[in-house]
Amino acid sequence: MCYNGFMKKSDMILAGAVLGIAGAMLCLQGMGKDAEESGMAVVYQGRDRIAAYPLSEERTEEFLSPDGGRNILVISAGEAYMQDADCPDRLCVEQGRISRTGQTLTCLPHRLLVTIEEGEAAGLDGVTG
Amino acid sequence: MTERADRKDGRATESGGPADLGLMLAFALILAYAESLLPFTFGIPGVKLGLANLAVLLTLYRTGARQALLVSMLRIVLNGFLFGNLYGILYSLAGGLLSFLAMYLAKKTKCFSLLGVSIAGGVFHNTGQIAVAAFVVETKGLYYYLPFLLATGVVTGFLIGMVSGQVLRRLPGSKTEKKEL
Repeated sequence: MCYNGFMKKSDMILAGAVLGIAGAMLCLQGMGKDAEESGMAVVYQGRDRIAAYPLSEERTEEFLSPDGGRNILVISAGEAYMQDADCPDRLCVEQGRISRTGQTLTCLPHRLLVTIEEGEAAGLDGVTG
Repeated sequence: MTERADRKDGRATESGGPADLGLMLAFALILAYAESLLPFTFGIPGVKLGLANLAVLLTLYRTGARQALLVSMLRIVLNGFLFGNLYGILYSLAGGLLSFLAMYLAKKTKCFSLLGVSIAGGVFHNTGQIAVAAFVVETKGLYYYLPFLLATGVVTGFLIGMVSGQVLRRLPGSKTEKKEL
């Protein structure tokens, strides 16, 4: 192996390969189209789909998880974002606004996940079960 | 460093001895604590600088795989009890185990330098954590973060590898040839 005193060739191949894979995956995800018109923000608590809201309607919803956690989801201007959460890291709030299909907001401590899905019939403003 | 001279009285911190491993464990804990003070989040679950991996890498290169695994696992459990919670331990253990395995194998092939080993560790640490998170939250939606985790794993692995290399060059009692770093 060529050793240049800093990084072996194989190191660079490894780093390059992983970055390449990451880039490819990112490109695939980027093709998720802007779902502003027809998209739904679907909320999961663990495995259960607990709610779905069209992105086209402005609203603010509060979610209380079984273990006492609280998240506030806001849908505004075709985007969904977590306005507030009472978990310690508040990563979900920092994840910003989402509007493309496949994008997600995650609150791991509360096992809450919001993802943008292609909406079918508009007008469903709450699906449970 | 007067380590060699100390060894005659039988109290020296032999590389890989209990005292040395204890030192490494304490080092790992301090690094993890220091990292928790840094405002270093990207808003992505599972992304960490992984400073504590420095201690694991040092042990892996100075002493051996078994001891490195011990330091890695113990520091995760202790860190979890001190600053975290049960879920945190779970994520970290998965990340730590996978990362250790990746580093061990990467080192064993002798194909990679310390940098490559560290990068492998960083990448697998992140993917291991997201895998457990996906399992706990019971959703595949988390794989959305995978590309970010892979990329940040390369970057943090590179940084930690650089630092480890510099530290190893200066620490006495390394069992690794300087050339391998």
